[in-house]
Amino acid sequence: MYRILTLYAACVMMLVVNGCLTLEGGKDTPPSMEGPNASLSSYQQKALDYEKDGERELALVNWRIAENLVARRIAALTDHMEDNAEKHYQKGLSFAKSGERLKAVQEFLTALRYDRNHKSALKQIRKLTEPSRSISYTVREGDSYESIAAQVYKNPSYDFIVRSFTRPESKGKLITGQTLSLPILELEFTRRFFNFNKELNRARKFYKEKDYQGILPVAENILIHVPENEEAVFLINSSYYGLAEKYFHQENFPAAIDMLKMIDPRFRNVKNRILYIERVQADRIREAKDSVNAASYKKAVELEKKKLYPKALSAYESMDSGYLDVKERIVSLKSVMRKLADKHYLLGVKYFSGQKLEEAVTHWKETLNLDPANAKARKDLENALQLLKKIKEIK
Amino acid sequence: MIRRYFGQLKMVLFKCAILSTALLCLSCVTPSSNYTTRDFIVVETTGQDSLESLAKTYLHDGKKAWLISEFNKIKEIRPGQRVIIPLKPFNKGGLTPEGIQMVPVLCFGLSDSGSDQGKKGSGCSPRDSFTAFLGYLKNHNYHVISMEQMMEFLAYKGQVPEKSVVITFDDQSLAMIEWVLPSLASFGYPATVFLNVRGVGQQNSMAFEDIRPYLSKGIRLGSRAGWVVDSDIEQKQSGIRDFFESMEKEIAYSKTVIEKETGKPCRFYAYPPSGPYNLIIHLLKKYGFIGGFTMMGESNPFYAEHYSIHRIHVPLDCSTDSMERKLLVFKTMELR
Repeated sequence: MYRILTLYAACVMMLVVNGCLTLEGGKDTPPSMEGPNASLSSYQQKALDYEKDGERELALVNWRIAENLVARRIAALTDHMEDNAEKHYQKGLSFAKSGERLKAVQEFLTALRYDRNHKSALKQIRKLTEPSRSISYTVREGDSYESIAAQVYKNPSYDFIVRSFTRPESKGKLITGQTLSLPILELEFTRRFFNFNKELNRARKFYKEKDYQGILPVAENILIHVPENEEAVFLINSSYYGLAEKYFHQENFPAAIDMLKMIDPRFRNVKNRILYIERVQADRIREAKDSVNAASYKKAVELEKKKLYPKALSAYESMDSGYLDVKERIVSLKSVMRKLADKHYLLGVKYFSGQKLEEAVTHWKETLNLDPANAKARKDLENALQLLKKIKEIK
Repeated sequence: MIRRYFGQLKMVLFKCAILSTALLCLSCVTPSSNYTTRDFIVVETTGQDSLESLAKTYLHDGKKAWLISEFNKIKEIRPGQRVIIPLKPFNKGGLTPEGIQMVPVLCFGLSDSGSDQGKKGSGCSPRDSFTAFLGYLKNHNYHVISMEQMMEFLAYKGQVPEKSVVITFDDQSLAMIEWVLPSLASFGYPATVFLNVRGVGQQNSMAFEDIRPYLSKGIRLGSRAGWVVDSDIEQKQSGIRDFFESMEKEIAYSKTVIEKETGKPCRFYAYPPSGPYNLIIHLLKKYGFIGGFTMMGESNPFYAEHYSIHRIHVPLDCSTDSMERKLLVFKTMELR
């Protein structure tokens, strides 16, 4: 009896342990071990004592309770570690966002310490500690090694770099849509190859030859290596001005204005020049319009003389309505056309009454040519055409 | 007849059942000295056991004794001790609440240490200095790891001993064959020698046949091609195109020669003193190198960039004090 009661009490205890036991502990500190640890050792001791006394069933119950406590302890510690890892990972992200790189790395390392397999933390550490060494460039239709070098390095003569890092599977050819990983050239690297005097002389030579397009990349490169170099600044601004004048003479006014806008105001005040070009541009637009109007007017008058009224009307209507007497001419032409349309309509009626259907159709078609909105002519024409069709069928 | 047959079968089955139950009881009831989980083995040691023998038995590599030692925080084994043997790396990256593991990569400077005769009046030769340094590493429980182990550590795949160092040389003088490589071999230390293949076999330089015997003793060869090209930039006023083409040619050539002469892949490169420029890093990737070494004078955490692994220059000037300072294997950092 005593044995059964003891077994029952142990089973109840196991249920209590299973259902009610909670492990304490905040998120930052591991859950306390004192309570469960003490219980754990007492159950283990009891189990051993029961085994010694040959009470295997009771020993087993106590071992199971101890096992359960261990499983719970493992689960609580695992949760604690994962929570901490996530907390430090989130902290790292916010430090990274605010640009505090070292603090972010420290937080991600802590996350990784709590969870050795935290892939995102590892990825962030690498992202923050590895310098950016490449530029990705996706090949576009019509690209060449030179054009890519010009875009990536602002120097088409660096085409050999693009060529060398084109993927081997493309067999030295550029494939549209292919992504190239090109090295970023550090300033301290390119500076080693930079010969100031040689480059300045090149720029001067271009200036002498008025090759403004040629000056720009050379002078800009000088400024990269020798910032604030006055001669390079002068050459760049002069190039912009020279190119603006060139475009102005080619009557490419927008390009000329764009170039003038690039000029440093300390080099030259070009506001008035821009205003002047804008005025010239407006004059040119007006002149162009006048010349188009004159040609159209001449053509419309000729068409009117040839009595090709609908064509003459559309020529007048395509012009600026304010040009010469276009408005009046349109009004008078429309009146002439209406009268002529009426005349043809009546002729059509006369032929229809005399059962000359084909002649009637011809006159009503002319009516609609001169006055497309004439509803009566349209209806009568339809009737006449249907009648003609029926007569043809009977025949 | 059939009944008799079934009777015999029953008897056999009964005997089998008794035997298997007995075996089961033996294995369960008798306290076992060893206990295995997926990640660990718990072993109760005997008088014959040592850290090395346990590592050899359970990890199949006696050199992994440090893994057992570091996990159990013990330096030696006592009989009857319960020892946990980790079957996997338990601390990749060497992260602890107090900070992070660092691995110094040392580059010994023979050429700046003068001849083997030593400095005037010091009575200490580079050879003595080098041997003393190797002895220092051994006596202070430093582990000299191979380049492969270093790369596993940097890839966050493998664990290396807490006090790990890597040994490298940018030297190919005859001294390498006369006393450097033999000294390393006597200590059983691996090392990587970065070669300028254009000079190998020339006057006062070792040849490939001198190096070959050491390849089986942990010595690996890397490339330090193009150093001359790099140092000539200013003097020759070469442009980027010339420089690039020469570097590419030298890097590709050195790799081919080393691989042909040693039959082993050449995957590591030591940058010229001017540094690891992006253009060269891209060339290294193109030709299949997996690591590039600078001379930035710092130790490396596991997240060091593979193409910018820092090395520390160690002149053989007979001062172990300066060597000690260079062996930074841990960086304090609050990681809790």
